[in-house]
Amino acid sequence: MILAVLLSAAAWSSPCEALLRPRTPGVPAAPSPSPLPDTLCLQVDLDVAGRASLTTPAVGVSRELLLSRGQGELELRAPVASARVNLDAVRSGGPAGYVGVAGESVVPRVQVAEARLDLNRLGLAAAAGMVDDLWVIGAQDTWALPAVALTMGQEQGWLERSDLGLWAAWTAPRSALTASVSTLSGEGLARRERNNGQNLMGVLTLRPLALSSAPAERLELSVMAREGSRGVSYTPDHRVAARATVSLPLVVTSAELMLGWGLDADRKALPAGLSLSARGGPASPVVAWARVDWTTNQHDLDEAAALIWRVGVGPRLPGPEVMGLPAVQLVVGVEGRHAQPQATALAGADAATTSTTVFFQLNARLRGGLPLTPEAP
Amino acid sequence: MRFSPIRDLSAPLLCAALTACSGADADAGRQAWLVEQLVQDNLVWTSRDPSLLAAKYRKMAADPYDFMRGSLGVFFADLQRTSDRRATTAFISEAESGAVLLVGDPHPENVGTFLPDGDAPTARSALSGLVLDFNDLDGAVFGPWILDLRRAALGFGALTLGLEGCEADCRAEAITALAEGYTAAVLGVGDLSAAYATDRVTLELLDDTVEDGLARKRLDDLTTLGDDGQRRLALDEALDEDGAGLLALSDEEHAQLQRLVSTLRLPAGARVLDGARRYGSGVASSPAVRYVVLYDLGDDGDLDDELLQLREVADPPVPPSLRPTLPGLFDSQADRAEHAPRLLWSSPRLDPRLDALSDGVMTFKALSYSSWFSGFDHEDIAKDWEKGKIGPADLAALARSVGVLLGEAHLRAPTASGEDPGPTLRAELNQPGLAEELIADAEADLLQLQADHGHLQDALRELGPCLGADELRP
Repeated sequence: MILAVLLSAAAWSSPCEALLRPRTPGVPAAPSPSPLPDTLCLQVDLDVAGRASLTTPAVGVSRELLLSRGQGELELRAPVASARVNLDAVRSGGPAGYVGVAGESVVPRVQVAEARLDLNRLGLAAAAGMVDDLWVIGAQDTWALPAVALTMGQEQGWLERSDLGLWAAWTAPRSALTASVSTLSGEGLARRERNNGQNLMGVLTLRPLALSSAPAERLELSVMAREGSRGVSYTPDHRVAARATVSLPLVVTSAELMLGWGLDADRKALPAGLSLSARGGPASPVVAWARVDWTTNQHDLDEAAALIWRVGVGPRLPGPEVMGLPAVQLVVGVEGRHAQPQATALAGADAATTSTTVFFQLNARLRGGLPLTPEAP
Repeated sequence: MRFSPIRDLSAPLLCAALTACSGADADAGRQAWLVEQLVQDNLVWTSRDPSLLAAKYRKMAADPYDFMRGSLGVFFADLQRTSDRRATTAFISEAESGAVLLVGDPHPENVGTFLPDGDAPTARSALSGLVLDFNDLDGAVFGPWILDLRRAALGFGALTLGLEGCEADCRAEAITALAEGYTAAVLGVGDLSAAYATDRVTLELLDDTVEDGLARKRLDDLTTLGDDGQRRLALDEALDEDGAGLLALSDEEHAQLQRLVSTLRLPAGARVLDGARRYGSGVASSPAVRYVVLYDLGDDGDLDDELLQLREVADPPVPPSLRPTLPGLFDSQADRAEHAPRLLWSSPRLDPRLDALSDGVMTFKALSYSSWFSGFDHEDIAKDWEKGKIGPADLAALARSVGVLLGEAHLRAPTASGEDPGPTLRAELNQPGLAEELIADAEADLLQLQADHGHLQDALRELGPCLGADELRP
């Protein structure tokens, strides 16, 4: 933590200021003739959150105290090349197993380990390794509160946070559009390759306001299509999605629609979801959010949908900011889930149809960087 | 509640959907799903010795009952899978009823005889000292109580596949008896003496057990008496064509067995005489490491010689439940392996040799391995049925006994929250419809089981003996 604060202080008075501007993977900056400073910068990003919650109906062992997020990221950036490693904290043994590491310890897991190339003059970028899923990370940057809840696609298990593969992306002048393609193993970050098929995904983001004097990123319209397969039986794992985002100083709103064919080796599954969200923007006096997700794993089936709603608020605490939000947040939130009979783990079990969770959460996300001396040739 | 903003909008998109909409037939889809579930369930064995996993799949493919035994994880996954054949339950209305300690896999072959210590307080049987109860609780986990009944009903359904002439009516009679036995046990009405079962299936088992127990048949079968008067395990030179046998220990296995035995709770004065690796037993856990240990109580001669088995225990399949309920009341795998049986059995000391041991990341359970500890065998039951020694009424009586055992087991153990499950179980069982729900579910589950059994046979032919997962070895 101390290191991060020191790094943060160092970053903004160094040649790294321009180089370390936040960027969304798969969204290179628009072509720029002005070269970035020829330096090497180290960026550290720590994102940790702890939660105390109360869920009704209560059942089983108390899980009211949670590490709701534990991520660390290191990135070395130069104007053209960068290397990034992101680790998150996971409970070994899974949620219901005993066979873990050193008991069932929380252990670090590699989420991202990527090499990246940026050709800034052309607005081109490419990355390879264990890379981000471009749709998930785009949705996450819009929602900006992954410690409160993952985005719909990731939370429902329809998309993985990252995967082995590579992507390439291009952003047009004035950021009018970004087009990206990726090819990934299709098994996600936690499984070895199971088949010879690769997932192919394309994402197109339009920023209509780039043609006006308003900031281009204020309105983004994105679409995605993925042709995929999963498992030893090449089960289809296709997705299409669309998202509209309006980013104003006070509020950021988003609507996302996703459809799928195949899920988790079930080729008959037809997942679908609609997520509507609003959160406080950079000028908001409070940290606040409201989100409603309508989801189903079989949208051609009656009584198979679930509705999840979330609201929360917290003061805007003083201190550094990351991506327009306070680095440290103390928030209170409420989540409700209402599932139709076919959307519960055991179909028809009344006890599983409705649950409500109230929680307090302390988030700390600190990011900073400092210049390093490149190794002499 | 009806909200479906996607359905209308998605229809045109559906038809444009790449390859998934190209009319892939439903059976191929089911087979692919089944293969994926089996591969995931058995990853731990894939990473060890694939030949043992291949033997397990062969055993499952050869017999629908054995397929049922080896596919508890598939059964649970199927219940959680959103599909048009997913039946809804009219029960599990309270959170506590969804967190009962389950037997896990209460099919008829997991019921057997026990010979508890002489001082066991609740030992009951028509034959002196012998008790009937569940003898495999590796799947014990917290979850909705009705899952145990649904699994038991499927177990009886699978059993009837080998009983000529026992069709839907015959199954319905047995499953009705299962539900009645369970309800009677939970509500405390009627004759609950499950262990005094007078059906001919149980009496046959008891007769055989007494005969084999008095003759020390298993000890004689698995050991030889040397010239020095000492028994030794009778080792096989190689596994038989079914992959079964008793083999000498490798150096690594010898070291592991020594570590396990050094922490094993044996009677005072007990001496370990021999040990061997046992292959080919069971179905679901057949690739697990198993040892047989020969020990005595310190006397000269072989009259005090006994066998016990040590078997590796893996994480149980996760049932559909409200929230993850393990670790629940259990600190560790070893704690679960030892204390789930003690909580569920009619007496905590039903098996005096029950113990659980950790060896690094592996957990083993110790159990008595004498002929007094015996179980039902679906092939034996089928033979008796064919000979006319047993009939539908006996099957129903056996099902009722299993129902009573289940009800009593559920009542004994606390829920995952540590609460008494009695009030919530009694409240739910006061509503009608249990037998009807179980009969309908069992018929659907049995159809799916038969179809899946065929899918496994096809998949083994198409994908190879490990279902194409050979390359997943680390």
